[in-house]
Amino acid sequence: MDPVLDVDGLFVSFPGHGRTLLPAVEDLGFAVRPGETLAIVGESGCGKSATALALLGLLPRHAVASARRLRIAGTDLAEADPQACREIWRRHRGGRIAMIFQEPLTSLNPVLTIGEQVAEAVRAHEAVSWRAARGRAFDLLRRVRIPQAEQRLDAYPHQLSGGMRQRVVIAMALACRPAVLVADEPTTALDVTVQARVLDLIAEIQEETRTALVLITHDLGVVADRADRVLVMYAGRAVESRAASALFAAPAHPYTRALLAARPRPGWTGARPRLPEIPGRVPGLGERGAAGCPFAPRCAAVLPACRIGRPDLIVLDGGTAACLRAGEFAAQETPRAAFG
Amino acid sequence: MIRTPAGRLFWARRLAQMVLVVLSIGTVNFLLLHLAPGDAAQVLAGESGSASPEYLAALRRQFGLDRPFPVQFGHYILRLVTFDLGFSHRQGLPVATLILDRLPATLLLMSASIGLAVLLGGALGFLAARRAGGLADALISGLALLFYATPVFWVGLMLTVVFAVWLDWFPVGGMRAIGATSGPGAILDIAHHLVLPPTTLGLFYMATYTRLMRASVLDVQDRDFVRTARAKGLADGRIAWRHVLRNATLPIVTTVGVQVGSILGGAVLVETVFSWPGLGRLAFEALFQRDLNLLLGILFLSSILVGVANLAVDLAYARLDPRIGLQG
Repeated sequence: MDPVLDVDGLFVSFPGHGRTLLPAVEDLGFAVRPGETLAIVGESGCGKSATALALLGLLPRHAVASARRLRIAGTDLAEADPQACREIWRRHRGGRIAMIFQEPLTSLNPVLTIGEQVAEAVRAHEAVSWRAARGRAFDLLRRVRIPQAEQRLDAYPHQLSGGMRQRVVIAMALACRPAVLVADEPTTALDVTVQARVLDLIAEIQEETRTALVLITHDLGVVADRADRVLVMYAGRAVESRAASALFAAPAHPYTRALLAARPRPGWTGARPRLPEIPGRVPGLGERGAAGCPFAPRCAAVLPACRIGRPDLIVLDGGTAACLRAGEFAAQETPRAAFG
Repeated sequence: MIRTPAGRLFWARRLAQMVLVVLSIGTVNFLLLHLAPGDAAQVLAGESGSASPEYLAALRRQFGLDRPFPVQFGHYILRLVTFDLGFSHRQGLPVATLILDRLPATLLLMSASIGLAVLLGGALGFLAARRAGGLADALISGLALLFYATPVFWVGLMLTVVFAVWLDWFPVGGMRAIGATSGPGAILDIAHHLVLPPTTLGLFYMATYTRLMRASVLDVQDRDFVRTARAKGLADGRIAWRHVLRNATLPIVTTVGVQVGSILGGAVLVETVFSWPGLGRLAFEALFQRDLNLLLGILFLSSILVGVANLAVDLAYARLDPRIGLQG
């Protein structure tokens, strides 16, 4: 099956001091097929959210984005500048690709009713009356299992719990049956008990509608449970991009290995020994561009050659990784293979 | 809002609060005016030219000014509660009659000024924010700063000189032309007189609201829910009107509520400059004539006006922002 989302050579930069441009995302490529889930993982500042916003043309006005290919549901938008081709992008957003945001309270308008906010999403893409759109909103609220959907139509966001609000956001995203759904840390702001239920709902809808899902998260437990493919980003670049099963069986990039090692496992109670952490931090936007592998300063398996040139993508079992020693690591069965 | 028990409780509490505030203001007014030297008897006696101590004493007895302070105060409060504003010995008319005669003119001036300031200021601020950094923004922001910094009386004088004297587009002062008839002609006549005074009074507040609205829109534009609205594929116009403007208006409403009092204060000045027959000028005259009863009456009414305006703002706010309303 052809991918419904096909991205190649995506670059996003933000203006720095003077006339310089600081790269936030560099030469990123990925593809997602209908019904498939791609997880994008990495620490904060790795370019995950910039990637998500670029897919919807929602980057801040001052950001500069370009792509060799940005094909969404059959249309290539690489040549359509979001500022210049507003109408093309407007129809595309919410219609073919929709987004679920991290913070359900602030992503809903506090002074408009739930019903209006869901109904306007329908009306943005279909010529239906408010009455009909309200009927659709009711169906959508029931679809995302909001109890007493009829009354909730006239409720305001502050009258709902965090989990309910996120369901409303999901209902808005589903309004026009998008081919691609981008979820940017959809459960980070929610109670742990609610997180799984919201993710189950997304998975169920995905199953039913064959929507392609781009799941941005730093929760590797979620990734192990739900992703088909995983894209690990570091400092704006893909460092490992592989099938989830292959990646969790034998992570090929030291950064992936470090992320996995830093993850609490079932049975861990918070007592000692402490979880291993990755020393240092992600280089800031202005600190990139040095020769060599960007992860080299923090890497436990660094070689002298790592500091000389940027490692090429190496093709491995189930995908690629950008590390000189990727083949060596991918061949090792990690002691912590049983994730999830 | 009002129909629910919680809503009724809220508004009952707000009303009680307002009564308390108005009474306290009345008390302070009374004390302040009694601290000031001189009384109506002195002024009257001075004007009549025969200021013998006997005449003064007789006048004071007649006006009740010779009674002990607590008695005067008690009488005053008792009368306030029954809305009896007393008698203006200077004008020879009941205070209530004098005030009611002037109230419409002031209300007209104030509502026109506030309307102008809010509508024009809001529109300009919105436009400036939408074109932030552009030429329109620079122009609007510059003008707003200019009006913000210019004294109201000077604006009034300059508007009079340019538009009334040189260009002769509008009358110099007053609210009606002499010998004006009633009917539609009279409304047009008043409207003609009602251009320069509200412009004078409103320009400063317009500048305030322009700046406020600009900042508010810029703030709201960056909120997450606006990004959500864009992610839904809404048209720019709908996002601006329904999502940004609706939220950006809230601070304006709050500020109007706070400023009603100072707009009323500004009306005194503008009414004097344009000889507008309103409460402000009446208060001005009463002050100089030591017409204590009249002045107290005007101040009492002003505090009620401001209280009612604030209540109206609360009501508007509760309608605009569903998160607010029932918390007392």
